[in-house]
Amino acid sequence: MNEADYEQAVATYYEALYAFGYSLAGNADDAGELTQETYCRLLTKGGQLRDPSKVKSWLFTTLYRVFLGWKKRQTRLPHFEISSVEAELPVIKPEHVDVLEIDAVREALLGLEEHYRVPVTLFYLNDQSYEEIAALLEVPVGTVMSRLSRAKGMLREQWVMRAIRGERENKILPLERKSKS
Amino acid sequence: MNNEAAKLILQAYRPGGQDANDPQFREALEQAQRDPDLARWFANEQALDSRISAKLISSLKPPAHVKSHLLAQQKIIRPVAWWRQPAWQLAAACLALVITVAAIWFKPAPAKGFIEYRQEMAEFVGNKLDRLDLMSRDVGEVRRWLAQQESHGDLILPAGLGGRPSVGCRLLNWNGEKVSLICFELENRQVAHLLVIDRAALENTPTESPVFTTLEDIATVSWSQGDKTYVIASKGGDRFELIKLL
Repeated sequence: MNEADYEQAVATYYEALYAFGYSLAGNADDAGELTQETYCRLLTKGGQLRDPSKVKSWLFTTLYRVFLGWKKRQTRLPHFEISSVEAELPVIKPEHVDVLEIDAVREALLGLEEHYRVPVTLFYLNDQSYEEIAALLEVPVGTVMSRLSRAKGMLREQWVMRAIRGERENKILPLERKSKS
Repeated sequence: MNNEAAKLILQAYRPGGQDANDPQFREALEQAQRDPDLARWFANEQALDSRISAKLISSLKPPAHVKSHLLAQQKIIRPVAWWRQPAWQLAAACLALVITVAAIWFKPAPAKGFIEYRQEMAEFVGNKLDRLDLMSRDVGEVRRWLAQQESHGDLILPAGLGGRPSVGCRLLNWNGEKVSLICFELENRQVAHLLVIDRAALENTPTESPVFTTLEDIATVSWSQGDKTYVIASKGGDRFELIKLL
């Protein structure tokens, strides 16, 4: 990989990669290290990349593999079908998100188990197609979407709890209760 | 498709529009256009996701140094060449063993002069350095690592390098003598390589007064302090830039 290509790859993807690394590792130091190691591998092994359009996928996949390599153990998490979780989603409006501190958004994300955190992070980073996310995780697209659905539900539960606490303290907007119909 | 099924699909539709051409969303999107209730729910969902996305991205922004550090490591890390692949390395090691055994009978005394050391080290960091043993921005961590390797953890940094982030370090061997290499990130995507060796390992070492030399396109400055001899080498640099590092 020549200098210009490398610099282009850094300029274009390092922020999203860092964010992805942060969501995996849960702290800034490890996020930086994961990002650095990923680009280090791009420098040493990027010559094998024949198709420049694959750089993005290659970087995200490599970072994820590096992270998995760091982990001592892997846990298997239960698989949820979309239909089983939708009803759990509480009603939450954009205004409720507006009053959340950005740290609260991140903390809620980091509170999710990795199985859910990875697809929902990639969903909100807006950088990859579902096919790319599925390829990265080595699961079918349907599984990505079911995990995403579950993850969004869990995030909202946390924000609702936070909103209820804030509501009691008259800090933020009242929640709309979900109708039973 | 009823509205509940459409909601399940549409909640995975991203507000950025990159899913617009994905056929799995088409039917649900068409249904949202026909049904006002579903359309209202979908608009709320998109607005919500859009705001969460913006907050999340801004909460996970990398610190300012990350980009410069990634660009700096490019100056050091290079692709592993074919002759450094394991199979070739094994063959090379066998060949080296034969040559070593043969050459041991005729081995001349190794060069120990400072001039040779500086020349070879400058050429190495300028053209052959391909990796570091430790990657770290923290000079303290680099020192600790060098100390663990019984190398030059107690080196004295010149004032101009103090406070600058390191890129990392590597242990080298020059004619049987241990050399510590620490790389520092400079402005303009340049890297300064600080080489430290025991003063007693070399002949004709410089005094405490810095000596500037340019070897092809590699600027160097050398000095001795205490029991160590230091060289800073910077590819593409010049004397005026090196002065700032002292």
